[in-house]
Amino acid sequence: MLILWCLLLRTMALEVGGHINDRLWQQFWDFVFVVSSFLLAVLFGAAAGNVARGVPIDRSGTFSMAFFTDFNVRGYVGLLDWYTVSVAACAVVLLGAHGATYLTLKTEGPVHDRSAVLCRRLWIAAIPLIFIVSVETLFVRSNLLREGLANPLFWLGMIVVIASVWMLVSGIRRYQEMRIFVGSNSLIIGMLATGGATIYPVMLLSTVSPEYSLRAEQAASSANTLESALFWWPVAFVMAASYFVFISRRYSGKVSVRRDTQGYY
Amino acid sequence: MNQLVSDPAFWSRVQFGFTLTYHYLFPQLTMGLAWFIVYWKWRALHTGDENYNVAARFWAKIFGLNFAVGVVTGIPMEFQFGTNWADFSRYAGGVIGQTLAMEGMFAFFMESAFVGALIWGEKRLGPRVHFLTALLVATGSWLSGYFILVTNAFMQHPVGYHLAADGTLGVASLSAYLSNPWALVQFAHNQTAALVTGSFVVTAVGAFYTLRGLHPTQSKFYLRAGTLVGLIAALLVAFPTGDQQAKIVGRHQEVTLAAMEGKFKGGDIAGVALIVFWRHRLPDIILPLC
Repeated sequence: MLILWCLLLRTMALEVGGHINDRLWQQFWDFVFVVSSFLLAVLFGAAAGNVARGVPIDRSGTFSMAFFTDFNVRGYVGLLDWYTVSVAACAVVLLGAHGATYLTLKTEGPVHDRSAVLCRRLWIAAIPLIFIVSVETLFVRSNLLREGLANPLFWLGMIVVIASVWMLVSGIRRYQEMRIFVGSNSLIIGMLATGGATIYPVMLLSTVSPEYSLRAEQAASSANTLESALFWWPVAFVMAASYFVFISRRYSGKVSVRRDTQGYY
Repeated sequence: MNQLVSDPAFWSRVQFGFTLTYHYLFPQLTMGLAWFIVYWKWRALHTGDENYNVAARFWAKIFGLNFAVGVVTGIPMEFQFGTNWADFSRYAGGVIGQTLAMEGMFAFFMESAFVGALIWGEKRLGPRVHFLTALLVATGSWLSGYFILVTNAFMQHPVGYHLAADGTLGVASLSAYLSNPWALVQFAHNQTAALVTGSFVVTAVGAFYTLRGLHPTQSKFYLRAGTLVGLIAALLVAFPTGDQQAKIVGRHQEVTLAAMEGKFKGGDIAGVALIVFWRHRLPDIILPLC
């Protein structure tokens, strides 16, 4: 529900902020946009932390959670504890760095210069934070490393993560904006892929007892339903990817305020 | 009555009904406006008359605003499938999840990817590609409507499903599910209704401009296109689409049709009721529907 509110406020701020030419009105909606975007990064990070740590699924196969309990990571945990808060902090810095990287790539002038400084600082903060959260994850779910090491996809994901960090570091050193952006994208993809490969087949771990955990085969739809989705999904995915490629190619390069307004006038 | 008010399911229905109704105001308008924008872009391309582009730009802005509010009001609806109707989602998610996902992948991505280009990309894209963009936005918005109506049609007249061993529903035939006769009739009726809404809004703006003596060329465009499409769509919404919709309701949900027509007593012949008054108490037939 919190994510829903942030999504609503973010879209509303984007949409209505520019419709009245009044400084106070525009600043108010800019503030709403910043706060809701920041909170979204926090909430997505906390949600990822909850998936990684597990939730208190009981014998009935359901769970309900308080906002926080005793800040511990075992038993009847809350939405926030020391681990999920640290994942949320890492997500804020990581997504902030990613956003600053994109702004650096797409803008020019003072916005570009400010974004470039932020991009550098945030990546310097993000890389050690990712390392710290990875170590914390091994403490919270000690079996993950053992299961990951036996999974080839884990190794593939790790190669992507290491290559991305190398691209990021070399890109920042040489001031190569596209290199940093590619590194940023592949780092996020690599981390998500590694995480997904490592926790599989447990979709949602129970912090009450491992036997109550939700596994992929329990969560799946019927075989017929999955077969239908396998039939149409690749087609839809190629179509969606083609729109993305089309728009990216048409809008490649720096954003120009003069060129990217409506109409020819 | 007190029992009804203290029942959380009742309030969940009220909440969901409100969300649904409020959300629907916006896509109804965007689905109707989309083809006006395509028409004006096409006319601008073929005649080279810049006035058509001015009309398309004006309505693209209104489309964009309504599209954004439509998305914002639509998100709570999808969330409420989980928060209000979790058991229904668990039971029928294997079927309705398909079309909700297809709507996202096939239609919403198309519509949202190109709506930005439609509003801000005219200089970048050039006239031909910009026309194509308008066409893709319109196609995406109607495709989106189709997938949502297939989901709704399954809830009215379920086809192409099977009952899995765990007691939940799954898709037995995707083609049967997607070509549900109820959905086809409902889509035709619904889309002509969207055209009625769009054309009335376009006509209203044209009439307002005319009365105020503003933008004479534009107001002429809006009035001409709005009244013509409005007239055709208003006829089509009644016949054959509305007629077919009522017939399919009558075939599969007799009680619903009786309630729609205000028929609360059975009999061999049902007369036509234009206006229905309840003089004493709520008819028994209504109570199970509350």
